[in-house]
Amino acid sequence: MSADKLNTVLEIRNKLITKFWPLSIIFLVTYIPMSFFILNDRLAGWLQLSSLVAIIGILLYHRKTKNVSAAGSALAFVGIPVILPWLLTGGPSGAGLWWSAVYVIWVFFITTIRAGLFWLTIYLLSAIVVVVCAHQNIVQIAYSDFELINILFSCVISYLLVFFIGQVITFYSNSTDIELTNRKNVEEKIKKINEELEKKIEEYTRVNKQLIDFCNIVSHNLRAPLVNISMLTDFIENAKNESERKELIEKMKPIVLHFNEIFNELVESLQIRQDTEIELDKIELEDCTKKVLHAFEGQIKLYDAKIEMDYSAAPIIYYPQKYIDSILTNLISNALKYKSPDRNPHIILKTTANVDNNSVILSVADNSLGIDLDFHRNKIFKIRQVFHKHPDAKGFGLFITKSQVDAMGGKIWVESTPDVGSTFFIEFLNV
Amino acid sequence: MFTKKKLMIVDDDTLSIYLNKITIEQTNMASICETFDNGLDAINFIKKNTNNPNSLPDIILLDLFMPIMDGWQFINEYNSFKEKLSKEIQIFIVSSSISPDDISRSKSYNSIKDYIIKPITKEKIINTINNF
Repeated sequence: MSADKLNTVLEIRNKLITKFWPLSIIFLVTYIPMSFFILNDRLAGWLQLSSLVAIIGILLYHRKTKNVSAAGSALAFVGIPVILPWLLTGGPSGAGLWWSAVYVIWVFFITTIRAGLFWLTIYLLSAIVVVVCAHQNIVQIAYSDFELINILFSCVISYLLVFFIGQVITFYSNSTDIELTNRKNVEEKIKKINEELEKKIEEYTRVNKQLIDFCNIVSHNLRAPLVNISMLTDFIENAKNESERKELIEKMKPIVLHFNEIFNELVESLQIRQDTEIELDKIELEDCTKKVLHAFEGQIKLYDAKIEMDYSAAPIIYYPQKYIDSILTNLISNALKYKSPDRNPHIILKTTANVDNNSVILSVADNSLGIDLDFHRNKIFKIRQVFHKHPDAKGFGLFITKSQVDAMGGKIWVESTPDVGSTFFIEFLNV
Repeated sequence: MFTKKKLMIVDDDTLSIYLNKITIEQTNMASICETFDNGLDAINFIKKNTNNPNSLPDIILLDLFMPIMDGWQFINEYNSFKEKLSKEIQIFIVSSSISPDDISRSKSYNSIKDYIIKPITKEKIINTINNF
């Protein structure tokens, strides 16, 4: 039985237990007249087959669920209606298809001790009723009072025995009693909900961190050029002469340009983060890298740079074309830009497949100046961060790269040793 | 006689240094002795002049966001050797950041006298030096 189906069964069972008394009264009312019917019906012995089928069903249920108590109790309950008429009438008798069927379902769900005691009482009561009715000549039976009580007593003992054995087996086998199964199910549900909650918390933490980053960008990166602009404006207003004013206006241009760049970068990053429905393209990494390298031909020649590719472990990924272009461009551009003056640039691009989570990791290793990660680990993927005194250094462009990787659910990280080189790793999910 | 305070500015933004320098000099209360565009160069300068009080500044105006070594890293480094300095130096954070995190973080350092939000004005400079 699949977990879902078992859950449904358990839910029905729980509902039935809450309606234990009204349902029991219905059984009580129907059971007693049925007892008379059983005692007088000698024809439909084959109907007992239904009980047999039910027993097989219970055994199969037991095999699946290992629920000894449920199966044991059910067997006890089913066994009695099969045996009782047999004993009472001296031959096979129809237990009544409907009630043995309903009975099986009923005991299937109610296997608590409370239910067991309840049904035991019903047996005894019905026995008393039968005996009294026989005495009043309402029904004719071929047994003496003593024999009848003897038979009923044996039935009760056999019921208790089977029920007891069921409980003992449950206790010693430490198997999943239906109560335990139920509890386990609830625990699993709670676990599932907790996992979902944790995922949500993670998601919200991530979004919150992005928001804090965004606030920091606005409060520092965007505010800095604004402060300069406002100060310059004051200076220009108070300039002593035309040449001084002209000089100050000249200084305004690069700030506005810088402001514009940061602003565009920020907007681009926000757009990337919002564009969650972007289409995936089939990327042949080698072709893609070659195309990207085309733009660096001049620099590669100039620095006599050596570039190696090994995409044999994962030659193809599925990723937005413009993101992968931009990611490769950025990483290669950084490796060349921050090259060591002591050696020619050497870049190794490589993929490894991670079977555990079905991802591909692309690494871009270089022999550049490297980054002192003890100092800069937290800043490396932030907007406009510069780690070297370099005339072209405007920040790594890694802010956008990170946005592009984040947006696709991947990860980016770096390992680096100053004066030896850096290796950037990018994880592409579900490729 | 009132002696002009010696100021050191540590800021990666050259325009900002230029503008602040003019503003500070207009107050006539301080002179700029040194400017550095990152924390590391400033630290190295101070270390080199540990026993040379005439070269050390009275006040350091420190920016927070700089390449190579930022303001926080500068403060941590500075704290590790400030006892050895032949002169007491007051450090003021001068940043364009209005982030409450930065402001409250600066309060957690004993060596930081105050947090000045850019733009620097003549009034702010005068107040700072008068409270010195």
